[in-house]
Amino acid sequence: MLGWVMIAVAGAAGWAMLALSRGETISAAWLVLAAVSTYLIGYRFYSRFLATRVFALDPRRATPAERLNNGRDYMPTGRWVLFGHHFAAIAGAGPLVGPVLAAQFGYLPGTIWIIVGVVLAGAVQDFVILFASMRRDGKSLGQMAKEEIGPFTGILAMIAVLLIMLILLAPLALIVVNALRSSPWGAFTLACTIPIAVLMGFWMKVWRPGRTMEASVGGVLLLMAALVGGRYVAENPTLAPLFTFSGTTLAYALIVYGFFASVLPCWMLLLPRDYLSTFMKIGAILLLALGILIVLPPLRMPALTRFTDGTGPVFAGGVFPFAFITIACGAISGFHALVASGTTPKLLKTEADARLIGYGGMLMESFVAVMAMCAASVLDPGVYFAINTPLATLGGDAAHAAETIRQWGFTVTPEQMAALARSVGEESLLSRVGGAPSLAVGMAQIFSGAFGPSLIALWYHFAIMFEALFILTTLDAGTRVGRFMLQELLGHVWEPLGRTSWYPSIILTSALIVTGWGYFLVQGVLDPLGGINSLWPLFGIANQLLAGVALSVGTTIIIKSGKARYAWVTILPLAWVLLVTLTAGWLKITSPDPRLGFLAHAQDTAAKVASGAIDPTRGARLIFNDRLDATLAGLFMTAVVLVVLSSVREWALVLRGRKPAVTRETVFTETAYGA
Amino acid sequence: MAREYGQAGPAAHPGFEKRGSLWLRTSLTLQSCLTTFRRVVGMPDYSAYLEHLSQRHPDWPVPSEQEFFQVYVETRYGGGVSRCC
Repeated sequence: MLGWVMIAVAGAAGWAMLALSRGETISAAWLVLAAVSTYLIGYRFYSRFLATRVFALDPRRATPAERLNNGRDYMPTGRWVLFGHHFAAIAGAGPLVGPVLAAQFGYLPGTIWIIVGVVLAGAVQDFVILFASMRRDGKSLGQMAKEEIGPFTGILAMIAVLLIMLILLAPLALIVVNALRSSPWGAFTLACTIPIAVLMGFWMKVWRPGRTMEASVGGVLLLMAALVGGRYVAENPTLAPLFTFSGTTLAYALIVYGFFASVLPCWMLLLPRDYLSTFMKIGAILLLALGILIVLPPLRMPALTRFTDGTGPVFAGGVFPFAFITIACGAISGFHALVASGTTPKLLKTEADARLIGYGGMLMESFVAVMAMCAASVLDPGVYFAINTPLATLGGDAAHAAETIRQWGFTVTPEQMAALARSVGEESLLSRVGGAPSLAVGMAQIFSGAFGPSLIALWYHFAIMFEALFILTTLDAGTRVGRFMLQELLGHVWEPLGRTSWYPSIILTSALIVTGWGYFLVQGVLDPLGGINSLWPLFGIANQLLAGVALSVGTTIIIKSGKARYAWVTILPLAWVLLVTLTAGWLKITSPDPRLGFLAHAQDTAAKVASGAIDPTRGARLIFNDRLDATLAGLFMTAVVLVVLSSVREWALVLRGRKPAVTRETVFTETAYGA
Repeated sequence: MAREYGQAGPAAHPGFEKRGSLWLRTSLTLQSCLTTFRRVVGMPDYSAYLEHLSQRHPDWPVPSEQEFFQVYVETRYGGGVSRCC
């Protein structure tokens, strides 16, 4: 008990330092301390309350893995192994990029949301869905919505998932494009991952079946060789131009790549890439944690910046509600509900493990977000804004940029930016929006502080490569999943289109899906404000609204299992998520500020076309995109409001006794493990 | 009963109890590391599957390692969301 008091005191000290220091720089140690103590207390007390009182996890109850054990997708798995597996499945580029963008408000708002949000909302969501799916033989979120709330809600939830998938892939791809634009080193390294993955695929499938480890170790070694080789390519006058690409070229290359990744058999590209990225993910995150702990760098970003009022250059909108939209993954992520009702529930050895894996796994992801916030905040604020501000806002060249940033109250000189770009082996770092380059500079500074300054360029490209690798894996997997969903839908229209192994259908549906996200990607690249500005909030809103669906399903299950008095554990986060996302969605559609509102931006563009400031064809395209974005945001919001309303109706029926409080849980079977 | 995957059990390694040579211990550690790694990336263990078959379904045909891998890839990526943002 004394130990817990000490942890609470340490956490309070961390929070006090974060909240009370104004004007002076503080060490990242305080941030890490506040985070880790809050996680420990949340895990020990709150998740225990959830596990025993609310869900009544029963170690004597056999899990699907035990009852349906088939030695493949259903099988009892050791808890730490499964923890690693689940963590690798939920953590991607999201928790790294969101905090970096939200750092424009200063480190404090984002940090509070990441830490408090995960304990009370994000980890609860993952835990409740994992629990619910575990009690239902590993059913998916959509199936549970259908069975527990109603068929209409189920279909609505599935359509929402498909739409969100499309809108999710575009900003992620855009991050890769922005990170690799006119960077021969980065482009060469990432291009190499494709032949490396194919080689690994042949190794595991054809030459040495099942030798995953050999292939992965070989793959990582080749990847490191490509990383080192990238420098040679970038410095070689004949090779460098071959790997120097414009944003548009990169965008089309990614679209073509996504198409092939979806059409080719998965063992050839998707599976080996998945392994490579799991390996890199766990390695790089451990390395970053180690680096931060060794260096304990000072946070140069202020706790709060003047941009909390909504005038920020990185993305438009005030700290409420936009800090909570921008940091989607890391605090709460609706997407996790799909993983927590996918592979993981089929692998749990005992019910009690759901606490560590569901709740604990999400705490770990939140810690990744905290580290990303540290990496963004160790940069000089002037450097941070020089990298993350769109070119149109920053002004033409380095001198203009320095002047713009000086007017915001931060200092950066053209020489400083040029020296920084040279030191990391890039031509320029001005306006490299999307979050990845600034995160990579921050990580490179931390790594070179911890492991020696000579390799800073290598560390920078290592960070870029590992982010791009994650994102491409999500792109591959997302396109393929989208294709399956579309095939299922189209199968209702004409049966052959539903056959997942019929090539004409595979090619058609893959092309449709890549065109879907590819359209947004290309528009994002052409957008004078950098695209991230409009696409990232749309993604955040979509992801948080999916969390709304997950929490509605969770609440319904809690109420129907006779635990209505504890239903606040999911109702409170649900209310918050709805408040934040619906406000943000409403502002994005209707705000009169053309920087913020889609429709106001369309009007503004129309006025500029009329006055001749914008070319009419380009203007028409911009206006169409604004209206499309507004329609999408409206669609997401409507779908989720309908899901929530139908859930509330169901709760009312059960609570008034008009409907029996029965869930579709599978019946109790005693475990054979002798708990 | 079904032993936990991710650990090398005594049944699979006769001589385990002796804890004899350094070589044996190293090879066992290495083996369990390999299995752990495979399970983290989401790949089921072939030898554990064979054990499962022999315990539960001794009459079923035994797949080759290549066939086992093929079926695994199909179930893993045959639909559903396996990766997040």
